[in-house]
Amino acid sequence: MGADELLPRVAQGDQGAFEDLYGLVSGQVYGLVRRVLRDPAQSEEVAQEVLLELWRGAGRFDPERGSALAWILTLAHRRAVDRVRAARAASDREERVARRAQTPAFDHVAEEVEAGLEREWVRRCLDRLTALQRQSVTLAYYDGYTYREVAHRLSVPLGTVKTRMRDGLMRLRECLGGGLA
Amino acid sequence: MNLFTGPHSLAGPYALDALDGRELRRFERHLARCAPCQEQVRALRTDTLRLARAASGTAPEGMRDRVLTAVRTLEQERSPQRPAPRFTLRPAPVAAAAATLALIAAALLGVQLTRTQDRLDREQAQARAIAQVLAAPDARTTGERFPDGSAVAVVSSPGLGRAVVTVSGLDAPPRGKDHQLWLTGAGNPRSLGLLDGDEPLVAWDFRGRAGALAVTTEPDGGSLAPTGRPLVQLALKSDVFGE
Repeated sequence: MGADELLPRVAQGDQGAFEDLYGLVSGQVYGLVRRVLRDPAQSEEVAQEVLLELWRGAGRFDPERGSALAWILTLAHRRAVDRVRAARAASDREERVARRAQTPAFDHVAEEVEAGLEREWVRRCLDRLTALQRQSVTLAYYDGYTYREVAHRLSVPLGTVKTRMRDGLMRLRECLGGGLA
Repeated sequence: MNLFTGPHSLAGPYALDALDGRELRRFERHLARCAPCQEQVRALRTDTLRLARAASGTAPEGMRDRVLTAVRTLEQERSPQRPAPRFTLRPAPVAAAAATLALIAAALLGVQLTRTQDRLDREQAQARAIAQVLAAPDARTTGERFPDGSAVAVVSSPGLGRAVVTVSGLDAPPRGKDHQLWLTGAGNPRSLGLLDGDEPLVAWDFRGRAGALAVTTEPDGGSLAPTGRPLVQLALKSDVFGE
C-alpha cells in the first residue's frame, strides 16, 4: 500500500497503517531533514517530531491538493527549515558561512548517503542549470535560506533571485521529464 | 495578470519554502485568491518534491521504537477542519521511557529538544518537570491557536498541582521589557513567571478554579501585578484544575 492509501487510515487512528507509513517514509523524511540541518542529533529530533505530527495531524491531509508524499515531505522540509533558521538566528551564522564556502552544496551529501538513481538524475539535472539558478534553488531548498538571504549571499537583486528560483525549478522539471512525483 | 512581477512572482521562493514572516503570510493570503498562482505553486511543488526525494537517507536505529511507542500514547487531532484544535492526551503509560515522554511533550507543546550545551542543566531539570507532568496519571491538556498566529498550550496535573505552559507566535517584547504569564480567576492575578520566547514554562503552583491564562508586557524582570494589556488570553475550565 502506498502513502496515499495509508495516510487516510492513519487519520482514522490505525496504528498498523502508521507503522507501514513509517517504513515507507521515515528514510525520506530523515534524509531530507538531515540534508538541511546536517547535524545528525538535531535531524533525528526534527524527523521524530515530523513523524509524530503525521500521526497527530493526518486528518489535515487533503488528497485534492496533492499526493500524500508531497504533503509529508513539505511538512518535513518546513520543519527542518524552521529549525535551521532558528539555530542560525541564535548563533553560528558566520561559522556556517565559512564552512559552506568550503563544501560544494550538493556533492557533500551525495557522498554521505547511499547513492540512488533519482539522486543521480537530480544531480545531473542540477548541473545543467545556470550557476545562478542552481545556487538560488539549492541555497533555498537544501540550506534553508530565505530568498532575501540568498540574494544577499549571491549579491544579486531580489527580483533576479525570485526569477532564477522559478525558472531554475522549471528547467529542472524539463530535464527530469516530470515523471515520478 | 502578470505572473512575473508583484506578489505573483513569489511563487518560486514560496515553493522552495524560502519566504518567512510577514512576507510568507502576505503571499499565502494572495495565493488563496489567485488561481493562476495556485496552479503555478502546485507545479513548482512537484519539482521541489524531486529535490526532496533526492535527499532520501536511512533513518537512525532506535527512532522507529521511540516514534511507535509515542504514537501509542499520543491522541490525534480530533477535528482536522477546525482552525483551533484543542489537544487531548491519554494518561501516559508509566513504563514509557523518558526519551519517549520527552518526545510526546515536544510534539504537544511544540518544544524543541535540542539546546546549546550551556543551557543543558537547566533544561534537564525542566525536561524532567515536563516529563513528570506528562506522566502523571491525571495529566490533561488544553490549548488554542489564535487567528493572529499565536498559540497557548497547557498540560496540567491537578494531582501534582503543576502545569507546563507554552505560548508561541508572539512578537518578541520590546527592549527592556518581558512577557509575563498570569493566572487570573478569583482574587488577584498571580504571576506564573516570565516567558522566554517559545520555551515551555513550568508553573509550579497551578491550582485554582476556573480562570484564565494571560500574557502581558511588563518592565524588565516582571511586575507584581499586571500593568499591561493582555496580549493573549486562554480561558481555563475548571477541569484543568481537576474540579
